Amino acid sequence: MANTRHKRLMQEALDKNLAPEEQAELRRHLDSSVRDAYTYTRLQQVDAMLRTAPHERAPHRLAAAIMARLAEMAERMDPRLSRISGLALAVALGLVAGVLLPVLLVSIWLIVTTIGSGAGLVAAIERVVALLAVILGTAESLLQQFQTFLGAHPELLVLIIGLIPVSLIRLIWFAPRKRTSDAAS
Amino acid sequence: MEDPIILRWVEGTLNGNQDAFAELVNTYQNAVYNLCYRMLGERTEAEDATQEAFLRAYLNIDRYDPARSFKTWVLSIASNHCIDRLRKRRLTWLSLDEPLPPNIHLSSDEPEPEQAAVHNERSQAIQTLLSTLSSEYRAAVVLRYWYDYSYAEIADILDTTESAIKSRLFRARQSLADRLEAQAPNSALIKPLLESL
Repeated sequence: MANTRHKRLMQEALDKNLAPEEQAELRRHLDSSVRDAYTYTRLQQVDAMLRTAPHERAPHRLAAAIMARLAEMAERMDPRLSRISGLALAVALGLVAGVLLPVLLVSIWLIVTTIGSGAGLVAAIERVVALLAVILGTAESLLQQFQTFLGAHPELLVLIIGLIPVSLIRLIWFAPRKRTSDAAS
Repeated sequence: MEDPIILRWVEGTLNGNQDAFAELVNTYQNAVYNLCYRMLGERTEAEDATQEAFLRAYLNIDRYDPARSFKTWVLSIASNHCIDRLRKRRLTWLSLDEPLPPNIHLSSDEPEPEQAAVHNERSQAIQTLLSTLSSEYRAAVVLRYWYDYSYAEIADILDTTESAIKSRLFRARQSLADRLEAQAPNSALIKPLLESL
């Protein structure tokens, strides 16, 4: 009966992965074991059968069927739009995480401080309110600067407002048209 | 590195050009179909799986790594899809131990009907033997013998280790040898196979 090593050598021999000394070892073993020589012959038969197995050709209509399904799918989804929406989703999730993370950290800090003392809670709330006041103050200041900038360059305001319908038209009208033309081609 | 023409078609597909993807389909449809047929053992299902594999390739084309062969990539999608199908088939109680009924199909591009019949007979006999293997073993055998991939490449395609692939191949061959021996030498299964050797 072939031991594990001889079984492995027989299989490796079929894949032509044996070193010369291993080949010699296998040959010696097969010369001394009729049973394993028979097993090896059967494995060689299987190997030869598989090596000469015919390749199946795809039916003529297959490529056309694939492209038809693709066109049908393209009506519903454009891969470029899907990439853009994937990117948009990633950015949105990043923004949400960016906003939620400080809130979470502040909440944890607040809870830890509250456990310490009641006075600590009051102090914590005061600090949070102060922090919010600073954020709101900064936002207000930025808004004022933006308003001043737009006051100095009113044409930019018109341009920004003008971009809104243009973007909507691009999304609603042009993208489906492009997909349809792709599908038709 | 992949052939520049293939990369150009991939680039075209990424830019939404379906003609470029049609070129990729035309180039690799036989390879993908043969894999699906050898895995699933049924022509109609193989056609459906081939379509599905190409649609998945289209949808995920931005994940394709140009340093890798496109053929290997698309065969990887197809083989994993076929393994999933076989698992679902097993769940619906269709036994993998019983070979699927033969579905003789003469493709119109084969010139000689007699030659086509011999081809079909042999192909079916091999298919019947393959269908006795589990989906993972079958995938390893098909990728090794029909596509001449190395252990490392098969491991990459099936997302496993080289030693696992070796083990699957060794056991699959032993199982096929046992199966062949169990058949009577003149049986309908073994005759066309032995005659061809």
